[in-house]
Amino acid sequence: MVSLIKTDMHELSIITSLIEQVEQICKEHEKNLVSKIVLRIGALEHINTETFLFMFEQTKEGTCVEHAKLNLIIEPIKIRCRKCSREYQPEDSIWLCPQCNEVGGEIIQGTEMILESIYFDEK
Amino acid sequence: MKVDVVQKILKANDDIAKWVRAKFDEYEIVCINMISAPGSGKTSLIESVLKQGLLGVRIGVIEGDPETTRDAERIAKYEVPVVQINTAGGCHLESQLVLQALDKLPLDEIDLLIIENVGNLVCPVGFDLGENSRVAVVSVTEGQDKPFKYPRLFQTANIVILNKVDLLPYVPFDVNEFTQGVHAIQPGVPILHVSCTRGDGVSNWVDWLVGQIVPGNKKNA
Repeated sequence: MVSLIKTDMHELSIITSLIEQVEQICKEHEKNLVSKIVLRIGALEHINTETFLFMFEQTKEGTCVEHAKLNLIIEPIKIRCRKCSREYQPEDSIWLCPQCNEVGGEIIQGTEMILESIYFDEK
Repeated sequence: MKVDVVQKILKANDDIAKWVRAKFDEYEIVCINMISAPGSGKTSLIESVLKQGLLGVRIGVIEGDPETTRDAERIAKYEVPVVQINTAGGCHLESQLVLQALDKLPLDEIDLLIIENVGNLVCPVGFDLGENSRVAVVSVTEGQDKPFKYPRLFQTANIVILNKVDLLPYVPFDVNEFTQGVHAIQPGVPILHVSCTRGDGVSNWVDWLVGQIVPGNKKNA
């Protein structure tokens, strides 16, 4: 016998998680409607902006973000070289330090998934 | 009116993962989260451990797949507790799914819980499941360029398994380039060479798993 758990399709999990988070913040501030949401997302999170915005539009109806604009700030990848400590944005898929040619390094930017700020409707 | 929030977007998942981790601590369970592309051999790697046993360590398994209970059926043959999660097209497991699965497992009788995530190198990486260690699996048929294509996985993995090494004579896979890529992203992370079909390296994989069980674990005392 195999125990089975089935879930709803949750490709939208990031969006629904975000909307729940915003609704919680609305409650805390006793507000009903949000006019703008600002997110900061790292390029390494591989979020497709168009898909993300489309899914947001499909999901927001009937929630506090129904009339909200979504502002996505994509943070580029930034690497710190382990050999010479130079910080750089890789131009190629192989991370190559422009100063000393060392391959690879420490990721210092590009993995963010941050709800930065919310603007409430004053109406 | 503007409110500065600065919260992680997946805060809800992270919060539940904390509860899951607390539950593992309570029951003294070590949890491993296995992430790879579909078909890299995650289920075979689990089977290879179940076939030979783990020195008295009791194993439980959570299988994540979009559809079917096939993987769980493969595991159930070894008479270990197993739960199948079907994500219905969903591309990764989340902590709340693991929390639900824990209700269906005899936690008192498990020392090592192996979670096989949905086959995907991108989405599972951002979702903490409450695991103690993360295993990244790549098979030699996938190509040596994976580390720089999916750096987040290789940055967060505690161990990397290069599977299907028995096929190396037949595929143009550059082991050196792969190793350099992995270590460019995370220096020093162990890379095991394994062939589940031929048996190469399985003992190293088993040893690594046994090493994850905290010495002095009351359950094994």
